Amino acid sequence: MAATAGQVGGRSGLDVRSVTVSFGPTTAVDDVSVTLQPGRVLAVLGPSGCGKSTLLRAVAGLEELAGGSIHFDGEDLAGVPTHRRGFAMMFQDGQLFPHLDVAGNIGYPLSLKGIRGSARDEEVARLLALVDLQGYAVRRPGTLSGGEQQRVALARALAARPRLLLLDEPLSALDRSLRERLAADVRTALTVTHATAILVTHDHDEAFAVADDLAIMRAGRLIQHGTVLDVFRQPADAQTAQFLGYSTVLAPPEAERLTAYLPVVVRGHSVALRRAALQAAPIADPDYRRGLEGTVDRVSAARDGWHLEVLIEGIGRVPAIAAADVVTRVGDRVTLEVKRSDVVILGEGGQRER
Amino acid sequence: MASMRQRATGGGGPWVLAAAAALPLAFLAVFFVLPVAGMLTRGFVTESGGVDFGGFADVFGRARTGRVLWFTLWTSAVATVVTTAVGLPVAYVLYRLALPGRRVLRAVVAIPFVMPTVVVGVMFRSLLASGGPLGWLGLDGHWAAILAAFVFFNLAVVTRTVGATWEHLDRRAEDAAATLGASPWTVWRTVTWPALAPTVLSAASVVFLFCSTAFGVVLTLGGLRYGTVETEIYLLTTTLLDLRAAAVLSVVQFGAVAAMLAVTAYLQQRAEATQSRSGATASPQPRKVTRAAAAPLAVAALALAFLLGPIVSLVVGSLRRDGEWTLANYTALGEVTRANALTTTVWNALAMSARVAIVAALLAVALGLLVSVVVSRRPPSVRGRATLSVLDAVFMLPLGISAVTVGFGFLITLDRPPLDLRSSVALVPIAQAMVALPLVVRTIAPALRAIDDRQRQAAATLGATPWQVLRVVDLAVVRRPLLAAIGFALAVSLGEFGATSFLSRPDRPTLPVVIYQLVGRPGAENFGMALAASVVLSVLTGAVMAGVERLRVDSVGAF
Repeated sequence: MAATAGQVGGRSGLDVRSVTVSFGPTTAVDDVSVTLQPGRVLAVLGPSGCGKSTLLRAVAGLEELAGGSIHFDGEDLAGVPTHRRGFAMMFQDGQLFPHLDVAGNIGYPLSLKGIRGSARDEEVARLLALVDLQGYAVRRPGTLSGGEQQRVALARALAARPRLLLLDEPLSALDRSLRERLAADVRTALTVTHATAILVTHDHDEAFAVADDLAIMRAGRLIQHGTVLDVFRQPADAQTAQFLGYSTVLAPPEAERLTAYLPVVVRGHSVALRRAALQAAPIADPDYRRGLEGTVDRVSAARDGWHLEVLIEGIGRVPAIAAADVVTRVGDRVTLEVKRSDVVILGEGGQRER
Repeated sequence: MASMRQRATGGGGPWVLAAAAALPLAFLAVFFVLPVAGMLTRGFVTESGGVDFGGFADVFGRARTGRVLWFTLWTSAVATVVTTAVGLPVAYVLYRLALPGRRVLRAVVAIPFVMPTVVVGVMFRSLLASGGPLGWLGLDGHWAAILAAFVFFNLAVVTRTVGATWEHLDRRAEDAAATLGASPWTVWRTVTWPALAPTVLSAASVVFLFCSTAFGVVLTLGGLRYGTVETEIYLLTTTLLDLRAAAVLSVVQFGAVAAMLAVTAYLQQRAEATQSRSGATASPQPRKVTRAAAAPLAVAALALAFLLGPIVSLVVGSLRRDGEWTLANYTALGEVTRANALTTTVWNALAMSARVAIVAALLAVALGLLVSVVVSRRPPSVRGRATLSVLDAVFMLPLGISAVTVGFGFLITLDRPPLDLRSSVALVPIAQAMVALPLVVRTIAPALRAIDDRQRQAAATLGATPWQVLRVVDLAVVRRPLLAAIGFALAVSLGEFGATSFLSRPDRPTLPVVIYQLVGRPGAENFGMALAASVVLSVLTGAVMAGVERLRVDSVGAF
């Protein structure tokens, strides 16, 4: 996409500089700086209450800044009211207008621009097709399922042809399978329309599915910011690793004992493990070469095999996996193979906050 | 699905409900339907026993009737429009903006609604009379005074009803519109107003209903020059003794009120439907006060001045006599003199009022609780639901029926065995309980309706007996609304004038009746006493309502 090329013809995208937002004595967003180039999608990921939605609302002009500035394509947005920013926002629960039907909702921003009659109808039909809701034009929002409502909300936001699309936990209210399906659809819609977007979510799968860039927020502060790949491969700290789906973080002494079985030297660093980092197998072969061993403490079936919890002397209880055809019981001794690719050494060469 | 839910809870089968409904229904039959019917019979049944509707032609042939009907209609319509137009910005300022002290201001707006009608009349007289601060306007006895009093009285209805809805409107719908490019005015026009309109219309219909059946205010301010249907019925019955004409007007009013109640109920249903769809349960999110709110703030400031002006004028007037500051008006409250020609002191009347109000409030709340329990059920069958909505409407009837008709009906139907109550002191509290009953139901029933049936189911599955379920779930929720309803009924009874004016015995008048007598007597002393007595009565009802306000029950005074 040409739009990703950056500062072309004054299109420099979004530039959030040291933004602070306060509600009375509490600081919801604390000195956050982040940039987003045109045509890219940024996911702001963090636990609930970390200030990510407030940051989004501040970008939309719905919250006052206590400090810092927000620029878009080089223009300072201070004093530009929400409705003149051209940033359409999509809310967690859609916020469809109950007194308008689906076509009325999607056509709402078109009417605001003076687009009426057949031009409006055609655009509405195009957007309905984009979100796969052909034939829904005359339905009332109240008669739609949660997933359908969110599709309409997305179409309505896209209808505004926003310079920047703001998605506030757009899929959080939906159940898991629907969320996964819709996340892919959202990504497609954003790609097709070359949209520049910020997605706020607490679900890392959603962020991975939709976004190019990732910003991690915690307690109002920006912890880490980079491409999805970089952040996922190298989380800045233990909490971030756990938030990104790493199952275990080991403190330096335990980390050192575990990585003794890897061809790397770890001194004074924590390590984060994905579940797949430890592959368990029963000790059946009497000629077995001694390696990392542990005792099975819990076994449960999962879609990709067995999920175990294993007690390892000197390290403690860690999650592990076993192949589907392996039979293990609680109390069995197992050997554990450590996979380098699923172990991340924290605080070493990671892209910390810039 | 609804039927399964209902069956699962068990308790409260149709027979239990019927039994619970029987007592209030019987009460309504004897003390409302019977007197009203008796009043109508007087008008339409000739002495030989035949039915004669000739009265209609006769009454409608009179030029005066046309004038009265027209005056009732246009004053009510204009007052409704003005009240709504002013009430909207006030509701915005008091319920939507993060204005410091907004809770206090909300209470101030609510004061007039619970002020006795007679007091409101006296207040405007004190303001507009030739010696009053606004005497130079020459509006004493002018229709504009009646109009102003209507607005004064009903502003709280619009502000509180619309405000309660507005406060809980999810502001993110407005945010969404703004991010889609809608200017603040467009957001109001296309998002906020559609969500609010049903509630506004519903409140306006209630205001129209109140204005068109107002009695005390019109009687004290209009004198003989301006009359509404309600005061005309009073005049025809008490002064002209033309029962036939009074009956005709009562029937006309009954029809109009029934139609208005139907319209109001429809609008309210619509308002509730749109509220649940637009997620009206969102927690309050007041907005910062910005320069953009200057216009509504200015309107609200003027409205508050308009509300406080007459009140201040009343208090000041009560403290002055012959151009000097004095407590003479208050010391006179303990005196019976030739000049005031009262049958008892004002303090005695106050004590009488208090006794009557306590009995009336307890009666109204006991009956109202039964009615609320019945009408808040969600029966599984269509017929069951239809029956309940009819019941609901029936218990709302006293809200709109001319209190004068009820009062006079009491006198002419309950005067022979087995019910010879004409000289009984019980008549006044009973009549006042009838007047307060609909308001009590409107306070308690919404709280009961809001209980999720699954809470009862949860309690039942944990081993609670039906009685324990009632205590743990229903009673816990309804405790505060119940207290609020008692207070509300007390305040209403303390100020009730329409029915009481017929029924209170000459030797034991209530305070509003005494105030009306004092206003009617010549002399500055008597008017000063009326002002002082009005202050006393207002302080009492105000104190009661302040207690109610502290309970923070939204349904009080919201329609």
